Amino acid sequence: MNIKVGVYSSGRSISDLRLRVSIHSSESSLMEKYKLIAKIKKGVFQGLCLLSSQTVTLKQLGFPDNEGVPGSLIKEITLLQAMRHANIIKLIDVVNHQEQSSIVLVYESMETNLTSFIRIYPKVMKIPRTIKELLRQILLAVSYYHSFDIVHGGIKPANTFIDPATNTLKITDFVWPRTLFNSNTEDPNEELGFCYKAPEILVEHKQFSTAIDVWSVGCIFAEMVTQKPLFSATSEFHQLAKIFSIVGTPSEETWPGFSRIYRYLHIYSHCKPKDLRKLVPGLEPAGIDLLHKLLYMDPKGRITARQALEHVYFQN
Amino acid sequence: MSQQHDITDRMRGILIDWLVEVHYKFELMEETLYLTVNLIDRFLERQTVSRKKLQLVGVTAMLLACKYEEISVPVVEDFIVISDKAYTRSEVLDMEKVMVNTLQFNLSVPTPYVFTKRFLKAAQSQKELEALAFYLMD
Repeated sequence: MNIKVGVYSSGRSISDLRLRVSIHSSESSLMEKYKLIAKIKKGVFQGLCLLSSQTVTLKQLGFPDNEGVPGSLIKEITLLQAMRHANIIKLIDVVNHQEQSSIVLVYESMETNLTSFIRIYPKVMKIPRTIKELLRQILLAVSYYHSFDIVHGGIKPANTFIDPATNTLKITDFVWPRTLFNSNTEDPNEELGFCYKAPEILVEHKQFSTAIDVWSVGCIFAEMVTQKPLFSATSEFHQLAKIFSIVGTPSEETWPGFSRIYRYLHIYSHCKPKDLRKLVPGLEPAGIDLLHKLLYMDPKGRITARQALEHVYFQN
Repeated sequence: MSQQHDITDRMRGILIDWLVEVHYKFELMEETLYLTVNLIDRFLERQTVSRKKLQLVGVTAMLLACKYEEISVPVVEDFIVISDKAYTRSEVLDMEKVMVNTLQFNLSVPTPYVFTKRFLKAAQSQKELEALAFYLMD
């Protein structure tokens, strides 16, 4: 064998023996296994698995540069394969074309996301027990992957799926590795994801902790009750002002050290927290208390997903 | 290694010695090296590789390990240069695909490094003991 040594390395001569055996590729063709049924949006398709006749969602991801599979995608796929939870969408298969510079991820298919579920079944969503059950399932999923120190980073109604027959809820799209380094991959037609972003990542992207997911869950909780987003701003820039106008502008008491993290705090007018009971009418007092804790401004003081599951709201 | 008819244990050893040097030159994290070796071994369990391609397997495994572990990843070009342009970019990228398909994207593996680190932490060891433990493990 001959190790070819480049300029970085010190020289080393090794006996040169050469024989040729080709490497067998173990890949299988996408079309042999799956049949495409419909295009959902750019790069996302609905398909049918020919072996199990199960409906699946196929997501094609391209490689932007000539550097092979992006590291973020490798991490994401590795993590998704390790995830085994009833409330997390399962990654069934990964098809890696030899001749194309893209990867196709095959997920179990869920038709209705929370946004359309609220639209189609507004009456079902009015039942407090439904809301409680859905919220419990979101928190179960979130606390499961938080136990692995994994941050979802983009929980929103559009990637929270519900099976209308059983009211089983599943979360998908672990976007954090991609959006953290490359935010322009988001589809502009998609709903505005920033409405569910926690205040600490709106001011500084380094503030990445499991608490950001808890905030998003709080936003979804309120939305399930009122059937419209709680913090609906027109742009990411206005999002922070919107949050301050409802939860109150942070002070040294409510968020110690915030003025040091965020230099532009003085631009925002001082707002007092609004009464969540009026903003989220119809929610029982225990629910209001939980919502307060989920939407706590300081990420250090915010409730964790595990603690939230033990909250009085879920007791009865 | 038993099902490999073109390469031997000794060749694997030479490859890994060389990769240790590359790892040092690139100033990579410890964990990356252990993962690289793990990827190579698991790949060789499943695929028959020719002598000529063994180094390609090595650099590709390191590229993948870097992508998984490192914050700043060396580019493909660095790996081509370090192996004295023995392989082309498309060869490396093709091998990368074969490798991720073979290993089914299972890159999250416990390596000896993680265990040793945990044991040393539990034992509240001194610097010298740590150095000895890591030396023995290598």
